[in-house]
Parts: sequence; C-alpha cells; structure tokens
Amino acid sequence: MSILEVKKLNYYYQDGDRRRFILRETSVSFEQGKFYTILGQSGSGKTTFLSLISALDEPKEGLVLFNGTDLKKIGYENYRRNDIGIIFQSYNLVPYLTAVENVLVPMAITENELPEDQKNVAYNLLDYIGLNKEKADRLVNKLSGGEQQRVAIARALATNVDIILADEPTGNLDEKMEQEIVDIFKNLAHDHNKCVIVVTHSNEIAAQSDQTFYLKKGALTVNE
Amino acid sequence: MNFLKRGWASITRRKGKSFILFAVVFVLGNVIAGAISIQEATKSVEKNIKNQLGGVATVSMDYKKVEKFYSENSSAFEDDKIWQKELAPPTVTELKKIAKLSYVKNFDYSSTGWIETDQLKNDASSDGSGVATEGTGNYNFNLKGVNDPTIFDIKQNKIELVGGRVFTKEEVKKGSRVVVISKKVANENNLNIGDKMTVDAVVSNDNGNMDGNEKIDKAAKNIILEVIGIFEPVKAEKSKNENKNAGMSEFLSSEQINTFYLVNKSVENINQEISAFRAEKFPAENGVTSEEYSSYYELKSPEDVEAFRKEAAPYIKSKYYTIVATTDQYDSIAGPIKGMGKISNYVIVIAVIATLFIISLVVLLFLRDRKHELGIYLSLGEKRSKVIGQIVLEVLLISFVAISLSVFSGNFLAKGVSESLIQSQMSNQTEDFNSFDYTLSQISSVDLNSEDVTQSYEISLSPRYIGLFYLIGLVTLLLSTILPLIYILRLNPKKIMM
Repeated sequence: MSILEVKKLNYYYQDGDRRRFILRETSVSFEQGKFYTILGQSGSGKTTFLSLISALDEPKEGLVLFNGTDLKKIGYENYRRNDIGIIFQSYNLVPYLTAVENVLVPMAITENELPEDQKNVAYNLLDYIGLNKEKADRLVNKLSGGEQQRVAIARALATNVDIILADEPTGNLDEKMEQEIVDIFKNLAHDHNKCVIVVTHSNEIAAQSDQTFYLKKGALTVNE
Repeated sequence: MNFLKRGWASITRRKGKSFILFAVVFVLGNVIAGAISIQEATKSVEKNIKNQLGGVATVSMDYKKVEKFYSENSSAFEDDKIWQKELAPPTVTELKKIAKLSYVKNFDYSSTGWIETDQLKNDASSDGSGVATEGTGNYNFNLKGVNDPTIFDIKQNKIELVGGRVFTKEEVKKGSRVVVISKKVANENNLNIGDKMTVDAVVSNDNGNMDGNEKIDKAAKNIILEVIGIFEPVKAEKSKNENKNAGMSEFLSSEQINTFYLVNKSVENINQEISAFRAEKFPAENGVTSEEYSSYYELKSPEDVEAFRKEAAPYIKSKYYTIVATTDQYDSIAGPIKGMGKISNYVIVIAVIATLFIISLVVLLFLRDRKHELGIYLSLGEKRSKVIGQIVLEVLLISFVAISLSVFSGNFLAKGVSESLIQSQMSNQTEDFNSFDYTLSQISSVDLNSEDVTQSYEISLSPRYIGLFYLIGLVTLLLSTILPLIYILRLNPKKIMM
C-alpha cells in the first residue's frame, strides 16, 4: 500500500487569462522501504512538486494523500510536524545552535511519541549519520558542508517519521560526500523501511534509486 | 529545544544583536525613566506642599478684574453708588449656600471693622510701628466677627486661647458685647478676664484729602466690651529658608495681635454706632457704609480645592469676586516645578512614540536577518504562535534587563537634569514683593516661599515610580513588537526555503 499518493495534481500560475502549468494532471504513488528520485531539468517543476508533497504549498487542483487521507484534512502544519522530514539543498540549519540542538528542534515541535532521553537519541542519530559527539556539540556554522547536510538528515529523522523528502541534498557537496549521503538514503529506505524521495538533477544518484520519475513539461513519467 | 530554550540561546549566543537591542532600549528607557522621575517628583512636591498649606478657601475680590473695571470706569472712584452696584460683595445667603457643598468641613463668616483709639493702647505702641496715621486715633485695632462660637482661627491654629473662654451660642445669637483679645493688648492695657474694656473709638473730619494747613477735629465714643478670653497668635509655620517677606510677616503678626474677636452681630452694631457717631459729629464726612463679610471654608482635603472652586463659582453672583484658596500659594510660587512637570509629560509622550517606532524598526530589521531561521521553524511544523512567542520572549527579556538598569540610571540622570534646571530657573526668578497676597495671608497659617517648594522637590526611587516605569516601558515594548509580528504572520516557508 502506498504511503503517499498524488492524484491528478495541477499547479499553475495565472498569467492574465492564461494558465501557465507547472504540473498538469500528475498522478503518482510512493511506498515505504523504497528510495525514489525525481529527475528533471531546471524549471521543470521538481521543486514545486516537492513543495506540494511536503505541504509547503497547496495544489491548485488535485489531491495529495498521506496513508489515504487528504493533507488538507490532516492539516499542512500537522503533516509537516508529525509525518515527514525535509532536507534542503542549503541545509537550512539554525546557525546559533549546535548540531545536536538542531536535531532537538523538531523533537520539541512534533507530537509524535519519542523516547524520554531525547538528547541521547539526537547524539545517537548524529553518530549513525557519521558525526561524533565532539562534532555534535559544535555550532553548525563550524562544520563543513557535508557535515551540515548530515545534521540536516539527522534532523529529518529525529521525529521518527516514515517519509524523508530531499531537495537537491547533494547539490553543494563533492562526489565523495555525495555518495556517502546517497548511501545513507539507501540505508534508510532499505534497512529502516522509510520512504525516501529525492529531487535531483544527478543521473548518478537516480541510477542508484529504486525508482526514478522524470518531470518534463509538467508531466511525470516513470522509468523503473 | 522548545521555543523558550531557542529564545534563550538566541539571546546568549547572538551577543552583538542582543547588545544592540539592549543599548537602544537602555537609552530610550533612560529618557522615559528620567521623565517619569521628574513627573512623579513634581506631583509629590505639589501634593506635599498643598497638604502642608491645607485646604482653606474664601470668597475674595478678584483684584485683577476690579483693576480692569476701574481702568474702564475712572469715575467709579468717586461714586459710591457705582461701587455698591457693580462691586457689591456676596451676601451671607450666598456664602452659606457655598458652605453646603460636600467638600466643606467647617465654615464661618466674619463681619469686619476698624477702630482707632487714643486711650486704649495697641501692641504697636511699644515700638512705634503701625501707629495710626496722624489726624485720627493713635492706635489701630481690627474687629473680627465670628458666627462659629469656637472661633475659626483657633481651629485653623492661627491663634490659641491662653486664658478665659470662647463665645457661647447664646452670645453669638444675641450679639453680646464680649471680646477675645490678645495677651499683648491685655498686658499693655492691664486687662484681665472679666474686665470691662473701654474702647474710645475716635472719629475725625480727616477724609484723607486734607492738605497740611486744614485743622483736624476729633471726637471719641466709648464702647464697652467684656473681656472673656485671651489669645496668643500661633507663630506662622516659618519657611525653612530666610523669609524674604519678613517685613510683611511682621505687619501681619502685629495685625493679628491687635485684633479683637467679637461675635458678628456685635461687630455690625459697633460699625453702625461709629458710623452714626461720625455722621453726628461730622455731617460733611458722612459716607455710605456697607457691611461686607469675609468667609472661611475649611475643605475636607486640599485635593478638593479645584472641584470646590468649580462648584462654588455659580453661587457667586458678582463677577468681581472669586474663590481664593490656600493652595493658590503653591500655584503662584511653583512656576519652575510646574514647568518641569509639563515638560516631563511631553518628554514621556514623545519618548514613548519614538520607542514604538525605533524598537519596531530594530526588531523588524533583526527579523529580516533571521528570515531563514523562522522559515526553518515553520517548515518543521512549528506553530506561528510559538515562533512569535520566541521573538517576543527575546525582545522582552533583553528589554527587561535594559529597563531594570535604566530605572536607576534614568532616576540618577533626572536628579542631575532637574537640579540644574531648577537652579537656573531659580536664579532667573526674582522674588516679587508686590505679588504678596493679603487675602491668602488671612486664610493661611503657612508662610511659604519658592525655596521651600524647590527644597521639597526630591527625585526618589519610589515604588510608584518603579511600578509606573515598568508598566509604561513593558506596554510600549509589547506594542512595538506588533509590527514585527505581522511580518512573521506573513512569512511563507516555501518562498524562504526553496
């Protein structure tokens, strides 16, 4: 059963009397335990698609269903708080907090049940992602780009959600670091039964995913 | 890492920004605190001085209006009829109506008179001062009637009874020829309680317009009064400073000593008798006599003066009469203090408005810098109310520290500023001897000058000042976060993050 489903999704900008479609009649579903990539050229609508399935924006027409329930019913804010983890290209970490504190932020926001010793959980998550305690206690702006992206991944995992959404997560990283991050995603999908959806323009990453979708002229096509 | 902990971390780890906000609030806080300090001090000095002055009022001639009347009607000087018609004093009925106002605690009215004698000596006779003008009697005495047998001046602590008794209701009603005199006059004339005092009321043909060559004729009429009480004036509460109106005070003290307290009816009768005697002896000098009453209203509180003045005004039919109160002394003396109070009011209003604008802009600029951070919280599903809560908490915590420090520094600054302001205004202000108010001196037992007022001016850290400053400061700061909060409400996480 799909955990996330998109049905006849339309997204457009009104330009006078004309509608400029970014996404047109897009339907697709995602399952747990799989690593998905969405490929497309710049301006193809990849980020718009991600913003719609991460409830940062609202579709003009069509539905986004989480476990069969429309996101509108769940509430966009609730959905972001309790059901997904988002990783951005530019990391988007709170600069005056340490790595572990950044991981603790969503843990204080979510309504999901979490272990009592949240700080310990945060340290373990960072360790799993590849950051030791010494680095976990550093302010994030004292970490390298790759390390910051690891913190962002740990933050996305902190609330024990089933869906991880990533927007060009390796866009600012070198090839070695990119592979390490991709390995983490694959591991999360296959060993931890997460649904990982990565928007990227990298064919190398797409080649390693379980399923790739191509976005072209507002339409999503599948390439197994 | 909830919003409270995030807020605290933001304050302590973004030290530069926190310090800038702290500095802005501290500077503006000092201005507001200083202004509130001055305002509170001026209010306090006004309250204290007015309490010290007490709340006694009287209906008195409005000399400024009368002066204007005479300047417009120069013939009125020679025409008694115009005087009687235009400048007729309020009647006893009018005065009694005013006494029924709820602010009045005690009331009395007094018929007054003036006697000159050759035989009965007054206190001035010992040092020669205050001796009557050449031509009539040698010695002057004031007649002061009472309707309240307990004597209003005793209640007001202007005089104290040192022997004998006050009047009885019966004596007031009948108009008995009994008198309360000063100890000095009693000693001067070897008079004791129970003695019959002979007052040789001297009248003459001197109408004040005679040249030096005309002969002055005199005649005396004996009036017999029984001495029932002896008083001594209570020394007026001297100002802490050298009294600049010392000469006037001496005159008033002498006047008090040479005053006979009688019942009103008795004063009226004596006035009529003397008038009739003058008319008999010197028919050419016969002028129109009219009875005029002085009124004394002791109010329940000095703070009631303005309300009393307002409510009493409609009962005074003549536009040439007005209410004069003891607290008017403060109003006439405390110019520099009142000026500072006014300025501090304006400063508070301007500083509060400036604070609203400046803090709003500073916080808004800081929020624009933190747009990304706020977008992160919103993208993680944080409620906007908690994002707002974090910002408000940060602003209030920093501001609270800044305000708490400016409570003391603002107070200290206010001391320095107001002291130098008062000193400069005091040095510009010259004591105006001509402004001495005789009416006020008749109802007030406190001798006040501008130095008393300035010396009782004190900037202090009173709980009221502290409470008022925190209230104004925190409300202003809360209001100044409204604009930035609207900014947060309008944030779109998609536009920020993607």
